Amino acid sequence: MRKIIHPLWSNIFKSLFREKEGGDTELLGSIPIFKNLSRRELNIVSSILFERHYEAGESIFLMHQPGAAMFIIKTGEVEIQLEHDDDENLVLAKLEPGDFFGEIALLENSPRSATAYASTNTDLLAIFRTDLDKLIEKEPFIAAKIMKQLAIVVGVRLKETNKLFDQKLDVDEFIAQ
Amino acid sequence: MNSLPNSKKPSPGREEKLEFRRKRTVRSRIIYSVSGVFFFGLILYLLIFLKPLILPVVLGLLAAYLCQPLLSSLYRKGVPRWASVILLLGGFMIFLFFSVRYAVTLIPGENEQLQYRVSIQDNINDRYQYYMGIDDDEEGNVVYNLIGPELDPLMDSINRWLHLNDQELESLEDWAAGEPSIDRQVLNRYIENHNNRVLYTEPELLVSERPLEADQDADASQVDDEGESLILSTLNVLSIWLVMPVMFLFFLIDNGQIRKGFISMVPNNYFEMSLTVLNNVDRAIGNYLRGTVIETVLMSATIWLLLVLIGFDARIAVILAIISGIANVIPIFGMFIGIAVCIVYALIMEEVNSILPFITLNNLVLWTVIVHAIAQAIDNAVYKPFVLGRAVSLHPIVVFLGAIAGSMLFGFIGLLFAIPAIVIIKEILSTFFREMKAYFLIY
Repeated sequence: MRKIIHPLWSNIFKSLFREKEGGDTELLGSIPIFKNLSRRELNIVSSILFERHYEAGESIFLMHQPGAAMFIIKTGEVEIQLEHDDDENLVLAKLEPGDFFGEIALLENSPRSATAYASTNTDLLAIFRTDLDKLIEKEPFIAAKIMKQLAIVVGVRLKETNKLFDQKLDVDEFIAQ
Repeated sequence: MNSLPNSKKPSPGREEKLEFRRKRTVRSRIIYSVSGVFFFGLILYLLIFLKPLILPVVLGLLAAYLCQPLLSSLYRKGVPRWASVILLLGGFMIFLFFSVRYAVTLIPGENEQLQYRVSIQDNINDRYQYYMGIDDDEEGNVVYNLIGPELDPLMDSINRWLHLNDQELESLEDWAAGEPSIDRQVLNRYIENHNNRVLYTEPELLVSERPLEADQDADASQVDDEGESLILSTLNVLSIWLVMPVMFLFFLIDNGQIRKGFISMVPNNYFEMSLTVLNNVDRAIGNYLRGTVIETVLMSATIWLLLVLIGFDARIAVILAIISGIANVIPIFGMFIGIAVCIVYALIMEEVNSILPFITLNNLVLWTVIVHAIAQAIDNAVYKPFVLGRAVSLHPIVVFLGAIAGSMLFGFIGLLFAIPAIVIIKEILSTFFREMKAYFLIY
């Protein structure tokens, strides 16, 4: 119970005394998904962003949890890990400021395929699927640009995965021969 | 000062570190506990002492919540947000203005009230005697012999309440003499019956229990005080209800800041889950509330049409239909509230102007019940499936206890809002626990 109440109150105080943040639009503009947006459009997108602070070692989301948001790293570092049964997690990627992860959650309500941890004190920007859905209704031109870029990013990542898969197959075949 | 760039400050010992952490934990607990108690105490204080503000605030928020899709739709059509807000606020104020004006026109003046009292007394006694089969020798039918001894004292107290004293009667006659619209013949018959009205329980003439004006003069100062307090209380009521459009405006202007503020207080572990819960609850409650409002409007329109068809006055039927439509929000019991209100009016009606020739004053009560039965059938077969979609299933016991608790806490308004409040709480809790499980926060 204390674990729940303590962070709740500390977050209330944090939000009350947190300094005014700025510069989110510049960060957003540097991210592939939002790169085709004008400054006005970036401002509209930044109005639906949530800023969160994570301490080093804190989990951002766990594997198999439902995915509802995509995260953009503002400051700090994030590790994407694949959980194993033998308690040793496989580190898939180390992400830095400007990187983003969990983008599939913007498209569908599927479980997270990996776990994300903050490896240092990290500030993240989160964008939710439901907010993007509302943006599609309210600002279809902006949403169309985002969705197109999102499709490109997902396509590129799929190609990379396929390439890795092919390489793995080649290595396995070579070993078998 | 002379330290080298790479030199480090002497790190505190392990004991000191632990002591520092312990002190910090204790300090945090004290600060968070005190502020928590203060915060919840403040909320409790506001709820108890600002109870009159709850209804205008809730209604203002509800109206704004229901207008959100309209706001989005206007925005999509190219109307700027500020213009949409002004348009909706204007529409809301105009609706309030005309509603209040219409309600005021329905409130009768002092002399009209006296006229209604004699006519209502006459009609209600006529109808009572007809249904109970009471004739001149006071022998009633089977129903009268069965429940007459219970109903007679009730009728006597209604008659005492409606009976006019001598001054009121004089005032009514003076006023009626100068009013060409009054049918003198009918009024005279009412007054004659009024003067000859005999109690049901004792064979003696009914006398008014209201004091005469001469007696009231003794308390003139008290009356003055009452006059003053009336103005003050009217101003108080107005100032309280001004909160409603203000809340409406603020909630319409809000562009997600309230939600953002709320989410910023949530710990990281619950961040994604709480937004998912908020969105699911928002969708479910939005659908329920909008569906309920549409259903209420459709039911009110249906009941109004049917009441006019069986001969109710169209103006009064508007009020009766709105009451019945709103009461219909309460499952099971709401229908009976609507029927009761309409039956009371059917009992005091003077004439029936129905296009159906077989409907008379004497069978109007039966037709009022039939009208509600038809409206309920249409509601269950057409409106509910199409408007509400998935029925909000509440156990009848929950409905019953909720309605009683609501009415005990906040009167009729509590009775009305109890079921929507229970539906909202049920939706929040079920979504909350479902998502807590989905996010592995509980088993």
